Amino acid sequence: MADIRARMDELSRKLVARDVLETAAGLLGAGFFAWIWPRLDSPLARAGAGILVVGSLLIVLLLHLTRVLRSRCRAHFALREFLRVERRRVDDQIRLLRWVALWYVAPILIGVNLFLAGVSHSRLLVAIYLPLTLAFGAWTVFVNLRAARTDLQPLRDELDRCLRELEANGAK
Amino acid sequence: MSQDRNREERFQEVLRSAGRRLTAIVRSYARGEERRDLHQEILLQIWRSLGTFESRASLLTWAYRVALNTAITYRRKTSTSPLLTGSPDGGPARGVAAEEGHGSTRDEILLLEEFIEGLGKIDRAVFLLYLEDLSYKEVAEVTGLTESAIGARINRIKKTFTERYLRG
Repeated sequence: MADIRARMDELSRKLVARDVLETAAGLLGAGFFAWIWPRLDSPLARAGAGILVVGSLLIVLLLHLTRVLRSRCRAHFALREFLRVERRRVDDQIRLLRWVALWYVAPILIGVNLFLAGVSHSRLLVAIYLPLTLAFGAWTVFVNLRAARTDLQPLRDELDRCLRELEANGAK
Repeated sequence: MSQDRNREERFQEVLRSAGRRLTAIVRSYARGEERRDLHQEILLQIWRSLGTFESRASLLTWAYRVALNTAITYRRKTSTSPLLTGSPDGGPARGVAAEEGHGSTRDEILLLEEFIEGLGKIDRAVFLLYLEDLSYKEVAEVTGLTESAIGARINRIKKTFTERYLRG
């Protein structure tokens, strides 16, 4: 009993810490670029800052939506309902990972490079920074696509198999 | 504070009334070291989900739901290989009951365990609940299937068992 309590407390602490950290980072970034936006002279830098504000808020929002849905306790559902909800949840996560280039990488990459191009006086710095951020973006997309393919897709397939096995003889 | 006490009382009640039955589910969905982890995971999920328990439902049926859902999810997380009919050391799977049994009873238990482990995950769940003396209605509540579907499924499983082991 005490062991279970301790594990639950530890899990809750970790989740809260992760949520707070990610949200704080996103909001801090959005806040900073929103603050600096009217102070920028360069239209390029303004466009970059604007994209970073919207992008950061979008990331925070998407992660929160996924997390809220994920944290809802479903373990007490009837097996059939549980499998269906779990499959839908995994589908959502797969979709999120497959489109990571669009909602995560693209806004950061475009925003940061436009911002840098607008505020920097050194073309060399921009020329060095661009391929670095591109490589970071490509790596992020690769890692997420691989996770969707190797971790989540097999889970999805197995849930689907269980659901088909369950419904083979007729469900309510 | 009283909510916490209520939760704790219910949890104790689950342990008292379903503790042994939860162990049977654990034995069927995990092996070796995984069994202890799965058992803990099930208890964790029961504890966590107790906040959503409505007293209209039967606590035992509710606990079965949580246990089976957790067991199926747990297997997905930890292993992609099918549950073997043998233990890692090559021998037949050993459960607590099998270890405690003697002679032909022990053999029968091992035979039954082997048969259950060879079933698909859903058939295994249905058959386990049937072996635990749950009514068709209760099994239907746990699985989300109709009572007639449960009846048909259990008859099919029993027929398979008879053909495999009794008509040898």
